[in-house]
Amino acid sequence: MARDFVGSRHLAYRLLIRSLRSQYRQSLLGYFWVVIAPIAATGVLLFLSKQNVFRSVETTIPYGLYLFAGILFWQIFTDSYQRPIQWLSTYRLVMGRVNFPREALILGALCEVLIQAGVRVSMLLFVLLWLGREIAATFLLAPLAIMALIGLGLVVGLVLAPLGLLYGDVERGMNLIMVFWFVMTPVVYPPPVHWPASLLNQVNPVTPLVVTARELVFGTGLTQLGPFVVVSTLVIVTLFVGSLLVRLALPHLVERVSV
Amino acid sequence: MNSSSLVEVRALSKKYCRDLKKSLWYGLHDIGKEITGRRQNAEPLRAGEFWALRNVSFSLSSGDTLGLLGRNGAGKTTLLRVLSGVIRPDLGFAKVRGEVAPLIELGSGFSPLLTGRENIYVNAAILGLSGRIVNGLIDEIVDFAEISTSSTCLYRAIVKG
Repeated sequence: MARDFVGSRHLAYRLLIRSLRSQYRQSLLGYFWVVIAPIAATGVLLFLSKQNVFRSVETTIPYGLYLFAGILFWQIFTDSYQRPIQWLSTYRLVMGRVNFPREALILGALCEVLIQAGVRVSMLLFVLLWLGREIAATFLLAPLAIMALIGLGLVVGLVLAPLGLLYGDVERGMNLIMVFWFVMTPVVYPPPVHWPASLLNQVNPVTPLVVTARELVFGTGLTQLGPFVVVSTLVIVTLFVGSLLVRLALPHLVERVSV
Repeated sequence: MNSSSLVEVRALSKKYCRDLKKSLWYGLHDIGKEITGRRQNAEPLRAGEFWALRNVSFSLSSGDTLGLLGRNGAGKTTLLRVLSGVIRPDLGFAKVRGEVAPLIELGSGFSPLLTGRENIYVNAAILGLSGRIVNGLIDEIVDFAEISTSSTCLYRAIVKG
């Protein structure tokens, strides 16, 4: 499987360029959308909390920054789960015409996710520097947590991709689930400490990843290292299983949805 | 496989299902069987299925030309798809020596928001040609497609007028 990924790198590169170029060509603000979306989301939520629409929470770092980092991490996660399905769906018809290495699609989608995540983390760094905050040494380790977040997103994406290509219900359902998942993840609030709300820390795999990423970025000490290691290990294993699943399912999918 | 034949097709059969809902369900079922390692039985046909190709056999040697004629839905494209390795036969086999450059529905990989040139590079890569090879051929390709004055326009603009 690894050899197939290496063999498809040239095609993956071409497809990546294609995707990056055509994505924002029909828009005035172009690549700025990558920057605008999280800033707007942070602005709205910050405004709502200032108006006491939801109970404002105590955080050791300024709440705006806390929110901004959390939203960036959450967007990295949703990007990672959406991209593989999106790529497979875009090339659905081409897959039914030409027998090109399908690994290029997964590889290309992964590269696009990595680039976007890189932009988002740079943005966070830029904002921190701009605000004159001291950058914690642990910031250097943050990419580890980001990679785990990307990995988890890919696992969800790869496992859902076969079903999602067959049935439109999956996309609609996932849009719904993602709203709940967002609320269930400590993005706008700190991880709950009291039972039963604290149960979310144990059952939601995104929680330790988002929490750890944020703690590494701000250097506030690690509180969920154990769960983080467990989830990361599971991600590595299931990532392999997910790729295998897509590999086995693709010929059947092509037959059904690309005619 | 005969040593001189480039394309060898034996007792090839492929079934299809016209009912979308059933087809999707069968697809899911087949994926399940594939994952659990149980080989699926091609026969009997499930409800709504029919043989798009049934017992097709032929072989082609170097220099041979074969024309496929048939009504809409006769299975011409299905046969080409099997030969290009895009879909797998349910029964029998198709073996091809050498490279296949399938020209089934040209332009399905084109993006309307890329220029003619950009689309050439993308489609060439999908067909397995490296950027270096295309660099040497690009003028010829542009001339052949008769888009020499518009190759840097968006594909959308080229096809619309």
